[in-house]
Amino acid sequence: MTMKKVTYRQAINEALFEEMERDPKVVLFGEDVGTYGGVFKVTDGLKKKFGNERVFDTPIAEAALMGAATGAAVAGLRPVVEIMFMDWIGIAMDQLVNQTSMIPYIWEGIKVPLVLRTQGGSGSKGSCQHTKSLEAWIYHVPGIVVAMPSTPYDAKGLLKSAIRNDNPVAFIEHKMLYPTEGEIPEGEYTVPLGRASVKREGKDVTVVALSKMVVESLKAAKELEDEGISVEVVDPVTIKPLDMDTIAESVKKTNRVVVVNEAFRTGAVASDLTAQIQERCFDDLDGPILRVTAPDVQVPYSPALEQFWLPGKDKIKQAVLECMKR
Amino acid sequence: MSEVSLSREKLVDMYRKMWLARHHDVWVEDMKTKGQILGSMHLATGQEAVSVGACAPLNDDDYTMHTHREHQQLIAKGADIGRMAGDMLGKVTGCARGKGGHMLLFDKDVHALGACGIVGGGVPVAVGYAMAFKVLGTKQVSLAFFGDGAANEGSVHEAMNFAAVRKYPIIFLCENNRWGLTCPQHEQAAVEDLADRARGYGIPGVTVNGNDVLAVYEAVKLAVDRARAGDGPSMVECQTWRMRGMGFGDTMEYVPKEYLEEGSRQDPICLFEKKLVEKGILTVEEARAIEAETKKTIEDAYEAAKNAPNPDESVFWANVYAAEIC
Ligand SMILES: Cc1ncc(C[n+]2csc(CCOP(=O)(O)OP(=O)(O)O)c2C)c(N)n1
Repeated sequence: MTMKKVTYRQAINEALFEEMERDPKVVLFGEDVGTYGGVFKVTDGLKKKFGNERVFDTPIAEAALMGAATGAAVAGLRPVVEIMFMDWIGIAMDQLVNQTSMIPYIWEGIKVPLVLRTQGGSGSKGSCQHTKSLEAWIYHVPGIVVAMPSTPYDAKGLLKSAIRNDNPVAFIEHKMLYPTEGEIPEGEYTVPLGRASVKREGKDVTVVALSKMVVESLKAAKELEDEGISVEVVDPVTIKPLDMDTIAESVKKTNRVVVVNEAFRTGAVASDLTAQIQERCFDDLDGPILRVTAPDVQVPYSPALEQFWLPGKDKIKQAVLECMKR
Repeated sequence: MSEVSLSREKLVDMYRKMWLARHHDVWVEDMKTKGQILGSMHLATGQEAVSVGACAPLNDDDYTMHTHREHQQLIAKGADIGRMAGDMLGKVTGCARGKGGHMLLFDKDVHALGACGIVGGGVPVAVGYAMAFKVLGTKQVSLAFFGDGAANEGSVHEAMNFAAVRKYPIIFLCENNRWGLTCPQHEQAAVEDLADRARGYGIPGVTVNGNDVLAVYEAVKLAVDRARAGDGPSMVECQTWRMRGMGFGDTMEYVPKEYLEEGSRQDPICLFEKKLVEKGILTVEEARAIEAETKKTIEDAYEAAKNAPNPDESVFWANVYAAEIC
């Protein structure tokens, strides 16, 4: 297969192009996604190509966006709706929790094939309202598939699968990943939902990491290799439903686990993954599962304070070393 | 331009504040260009008349709620510029000790509480201020700034109806620069004058030229008097021009040239100065002296902030809970 190098941003853009071309029922809307092509330029060129009925800018009204995407999905479209920053998912949340996710369960025979695209993550000096990772809120609600790709390859292939899937899928991007590069095939491919990916093989410790924390974990793994510690990095890619088999297989080999999630510690997805892993793998574990997360503190602006909030390579290394001692 | 019989002292104070606001945003734009301020930055250069005209009828103990384009609104309310500069640079000398940054400025001494990066998110909170004033019988009023884009958020509609029904002393101040990020107002709202919506809530609504500081003053003064007299909320829409991008770095290729030309012709400081000079309230020499003196105030504040200490780790952990729990 011939490969090419693209950014995470381009990968998502390509997936949208290809799926809109393939299926006229796919529509794309959100704030500034049309004429401008999105504040992160992820939807660049789509309005020009597919026109104002299928790709359009909306009023600033996240509740209406989420609800309208839901209704449009019920009535025969396959909407991709963008909530620009995950920090204001709260405004859309009632629709998501009490309409989108409820409908397929109660209205038997009705499907809600939509993709909610949003992005979270810190590192941009965005302060409290532009940096949060609130995937745990969505993850908590039954009936929503939650995907958090970390590479251009996964992002493109997974988004294509998400658009083709008949369930509501929350597709959560990371703002600091947009410019990162990776290889993808020249031609058509998809990545299945619900399948984890081993990003690096190792034998001493399994690091289960989400989104940008996969990148940080790989950096940590590289440095730890020099210290003689072999780290396996597993990226769940889709966090719900979770590919527990791949994680369990890794744990069987390493017997030690660190879970990494850039989110407030209490009630983070990391907490739930930890619970799931110990339920399934208790007999394989040589010590407690450790978590690397952000603390239960709002994300401060001051560049001088950021280090205290951000989880990353160094904190992951520390946790792996700690894990080896236990 | 409107005629208002205000004391010379008041008029000169308003003129002075407009220059402070202008110099502020020009100064921080320059610092941002030099990479001396990190994160995003929304500038209101050219919108000074809205902030100053709206805050001029208020007392220090009246509460104001601000937007994400808020520097000038805080200056107009009388916020301490030195501490504001501290927050802008993430320094410990700021009101938030550097934790909030550009989009979360506040100053509790003048009850500027506070800025909000969630579009429309602050407006319901401002209704709460007004509720407290009514229940406590204090005769204070609340004024909520929000943009034309924010006007389409459910939170804003809900807040206006709520306040109207309860007859709370609040002024809904719509700063209409005709753009929400990259989308023109006509793509976000089907009405021309957003103040027309006030009728639907059963409150008075008026649209004024937001570059005419006296027109803004006059409209807000009426609304404030009404609110203090116990007659409930009003909406004042101030139409103005967004002379900078949606945020720093925006090249604005989507903004028509004519819009910017018209905005330049309508420069609110020039208009006001012309009037003050014509009326013999200010000489041109006095005007230039004010222009220079206010520039120095801003420069000095930012020089001091640059040299101020960073917050340390104790600041990071402080006030996650602001009160004792047990
Ligand atoms: C709830 C929410 N939705 C979207 C955004 C992204 N956003 C930031 S500024 C802005 C435009 C706001 O327009 P307006 O209210 O007219 O204020 P202006 O920027 O023109 O001053 C948008 C959509 C946000 N910050 N919060």
